[in-house]
Amino acid sequence: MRILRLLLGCLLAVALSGCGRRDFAHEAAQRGILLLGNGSDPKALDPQLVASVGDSNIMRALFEGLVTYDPADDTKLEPGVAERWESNADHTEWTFHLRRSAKWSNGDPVTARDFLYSYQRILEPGLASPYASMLYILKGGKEYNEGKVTDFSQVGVKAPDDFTLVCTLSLPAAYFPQVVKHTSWLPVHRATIERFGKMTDRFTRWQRPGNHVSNGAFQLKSWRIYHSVTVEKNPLYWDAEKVSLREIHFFPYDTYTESRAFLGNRLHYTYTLPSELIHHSGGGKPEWLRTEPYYGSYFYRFHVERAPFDNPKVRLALTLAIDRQAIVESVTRANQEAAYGFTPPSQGGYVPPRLISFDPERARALLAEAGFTGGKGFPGFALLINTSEAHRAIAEAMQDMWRRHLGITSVRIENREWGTFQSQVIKQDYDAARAGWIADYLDPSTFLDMWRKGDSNNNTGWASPEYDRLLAEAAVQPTEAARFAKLQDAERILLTELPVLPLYWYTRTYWLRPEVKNWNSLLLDNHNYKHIRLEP
Amino acid sequence: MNEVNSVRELQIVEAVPGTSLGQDAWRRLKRNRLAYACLWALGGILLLCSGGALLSWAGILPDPNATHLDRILAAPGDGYLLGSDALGRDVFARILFGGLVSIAVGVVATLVSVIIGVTYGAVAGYVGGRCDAVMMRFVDILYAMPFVILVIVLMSLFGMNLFWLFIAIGAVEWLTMARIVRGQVMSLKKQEFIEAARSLGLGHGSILFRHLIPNCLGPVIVYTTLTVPSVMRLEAVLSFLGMGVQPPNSSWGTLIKEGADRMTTSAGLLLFPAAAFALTLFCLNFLGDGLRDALDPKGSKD
Amino acid sequence: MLRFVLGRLVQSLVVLVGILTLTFILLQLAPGNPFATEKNIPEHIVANMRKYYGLDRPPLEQWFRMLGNYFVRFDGGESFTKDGFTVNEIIQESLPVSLLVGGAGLVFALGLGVPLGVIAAARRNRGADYLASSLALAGICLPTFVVAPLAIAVFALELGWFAPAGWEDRRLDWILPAIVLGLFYMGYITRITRAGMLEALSQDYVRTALAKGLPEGRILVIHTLRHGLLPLVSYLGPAVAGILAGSFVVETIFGLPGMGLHTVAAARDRDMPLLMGSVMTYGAMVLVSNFLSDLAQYWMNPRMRGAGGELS
Repeated sequence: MRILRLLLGCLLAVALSGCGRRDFAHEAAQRGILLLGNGSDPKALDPQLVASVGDSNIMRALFEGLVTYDPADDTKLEPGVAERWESNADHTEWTFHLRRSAKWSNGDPVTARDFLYSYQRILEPGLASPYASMLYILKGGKEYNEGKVTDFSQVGVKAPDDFTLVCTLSLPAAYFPQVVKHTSWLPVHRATIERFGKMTDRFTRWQRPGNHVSNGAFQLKSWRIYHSVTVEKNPLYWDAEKVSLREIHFFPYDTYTESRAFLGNRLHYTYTLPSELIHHSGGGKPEWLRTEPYYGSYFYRFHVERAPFDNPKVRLALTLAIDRQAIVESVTRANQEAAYGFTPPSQGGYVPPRLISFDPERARALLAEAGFTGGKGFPGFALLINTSEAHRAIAEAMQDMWRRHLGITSVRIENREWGTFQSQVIKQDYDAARAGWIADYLDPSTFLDMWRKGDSNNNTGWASPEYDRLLAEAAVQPTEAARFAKLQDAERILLTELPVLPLYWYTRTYWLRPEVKNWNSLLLDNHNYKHIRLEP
Repeated sequence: MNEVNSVRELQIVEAVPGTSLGQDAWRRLKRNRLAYACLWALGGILLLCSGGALLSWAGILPDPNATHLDRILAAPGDGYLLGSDALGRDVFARILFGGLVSIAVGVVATLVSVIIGVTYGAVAGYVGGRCDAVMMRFVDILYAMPFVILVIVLMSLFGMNLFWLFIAIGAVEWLTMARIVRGQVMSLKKQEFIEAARSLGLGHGSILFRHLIPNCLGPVIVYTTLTVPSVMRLEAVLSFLGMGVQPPNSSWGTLIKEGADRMTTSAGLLLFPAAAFALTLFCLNFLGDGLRDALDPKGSKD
Repeated sequence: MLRFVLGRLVQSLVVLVGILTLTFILLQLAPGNPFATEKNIPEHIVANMRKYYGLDRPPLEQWFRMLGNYFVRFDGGESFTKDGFTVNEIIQESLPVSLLVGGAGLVFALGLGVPLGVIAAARRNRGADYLASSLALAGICLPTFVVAPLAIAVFALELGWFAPAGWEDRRLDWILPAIVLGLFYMGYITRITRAGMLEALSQDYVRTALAKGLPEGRILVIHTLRHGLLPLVSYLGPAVAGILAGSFVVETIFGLPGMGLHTVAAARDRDMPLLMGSVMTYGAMVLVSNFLSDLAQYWMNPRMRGAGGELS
């Protein structure tokens, strides 16, 4: 008993003297340190090897591309390493003029040759970059990446001098400056890469603190697995005087852990927020909550080569029997928008055709036409999801809607870990699989290109020559309006044949502390940390 | 992963001599009021869960898997006895149904482990010699591997459904049982009645299964009652990893996990299934203790 | 004694090779792609990656290489999913976290569990026994993923005593996770101590001592502790390794950069080198702590000493 009392006494003493009720986030804000939840551990700190949204958040702090993100408006372009740029009349050739003041964090100047080197590196088949296909827009990029062309000088990118970069495209793209904002177009420092290996060596020690060299507003300070990545202000950044933050810490916490860390004053920002905390404060304050539109689409893929999904009537019936409004209002509950098409509509830009609705009557009729009156005899199939409470709840709701409205009782839900899930989708080893697609850049083509025949992200077995033709035609249209019209025609085909079952368009919901200033609502959610300020 | 390391109370169980479960032990168990009450409580829980499932099936209780998106997260009493969950499903019906699944996992997976463990241990103990050494080294190897990892790999190997859940858990929980039975068999096989059976010309199989294994029943039963709760815990941890019972079905593990996520907003979702789970585990453990005492004449003196 | 130690060493090596082989076979059979990322990767790139990691070699060669890496060069190779980090680096960085949390948890579990167990045994079937046993069972019956968020809600968010999540060096963030982790083990330790003590108390020599009218407390300590704690020491053999190797549930909920996270993540993502490293580390820890536990039992139990090398 005495031991017990002693132990409890010790604990109490430690607890009371130790932490108390300190506001760590406030203290950090006073020191100019931004504490961000970032969802998961980074895969790499190498812009040519990262692929996830969380990783690209860190990349944006460390590196700066030719063009970069405007703090408040995704459609706007902010000059990055390039001071200005221009294109030829049909938007197939772009010239970027680099600023002479841009420096790497080790003092070397950032030159056009660095970009040339980086683009070659990401396209090298040997590097096996997951995002190499982003550069297929460069003439010859695809061929080089597939090893059909081995001479990089045949790829459409040149550096006539140290501060000029010329890109020749495989198709006309008025939106090209939007594309080069993406992580895959960021430069890397050649001497550093090659100090730790060959150009095509993956994940060498160059990404470690002390070795890492970058050209963004911040430089790497530390990287500890499952702990955090911290970056500090880069004093040699060309625009360093505008950078207000001294450090940013990225934490890889799981959803519930990060909301608790936030409530315990250890974060300024949560990467996500569980839906129940949106509606019920659970200790949170209403002024923390931020809900913003997000350019992404949540949907299911049908494996159209597999019965019964080889019948478009079945796919349409299943799609029409889902009450999307009920799902966004009662299941996801974060102000998502029920999808009536596939591509999310953007203000003043592209709007998808309105073809998807909730129509159980018609769904039943279609199912009967397909030979499954009242759901009788409908073969068993599985909804494949990756393990997560949120995906599971949606799948359960769909399962019950099909049971209720169509009489289909044979739906299973199979959940897999991300790795297994992804490989099953790629190998088309599924009946119907959940999917989410976040835009890589601000243009509807980032949503529609993937449904072309043989695209590495198609994975449904669906192909339509007519669809591919319309997309090709859209690419060469002279005006934005004419291009969008063609894309709408293409999307109409997609929404009639339905290799996908659209559910909703994303919203970003998170907590943000009031100390963080200039953190604006952005469709792509790519915040430029250079403009973020902390005012404790 | 260590939450789910199997109960390694080998030493306690070994203290039980290999008597058959007779009238005597039953009387002693009845005298242990707590254990006896637990036995009844377990019967009651089982009856309630299966009855509930039956009533749901008959349409008297709500379908545990029917969603009502217009009636989500209802408070207890508000049209639902214990409230409704995030998809508007009846929590009471889900707890009853989930209980049936959890208990089934506990019992079936334990049975799998008992069958593997008893056979393996008995064979090793009976054959002895080099064969025994090799077999026991294999047990040592499995002992030194993290259990959850084995289950995760097995489940991803074979697919995540209830059947493979039973097998995967059973396949990692049999080790202690094998050791217990081996020890018992080794001491029993030198005794006279086995010699007698052998001189009568009985085959190895029938000696093993007719004479040796039945005489190990005491410790096997005790250890089995202790394995059931640890299997149920393992199922709960797997649910935390999203690898347990698959939706829309529920087990207490999945319900508790859902509830734990929402405990700040709807406490009932955590409280009710956790209470049911804890009560069942409580009873199983006390019953196990009671059985051990009942089968151990030394410990029953007072 | 020396022969015993050497014998155990050889035996342990055999077990470790067995663990390696078994894990290897399981992973060879397991489906899933260790190179999956958020966007799809074209086929030829995956083929390149497989080549890069040597996965295109025949299984036997892979197995043999791995054997050499572990037993000759003590090198776990590079992780598939935590790219660029070697398995050795990852374990070096994460194991101390788990050791600290687990070690503190173990001290807590022993510090609370042993006295509770002894009290319960001494007051068998009385109020104190029921109280201690119920406390122990609460630790066993409540899943950690329920206790942890509850503990955070009360002690971290409500009272502000501990950190709700995270890990800062030189801060005491590990106390709350250690207690949460320790609760479960406390439950088992209490039960096992109680059972062991009951067994010891029923021995004839104790009954004799009691009959002689020696004060109860002194008998308990002097005559029975050594004998009564034997089952506990045997239980601690594997349990110590388990508690020190890190808990996925506790580390996820508290956001700690420990070993448990790596082990489960590696199993889920088919990160063969890292999983192998974790499993081998765990295996080695089990063997060491079993060995220590056997030594302790040998020392504690005079009857065993006569049996020479017959420890197992």
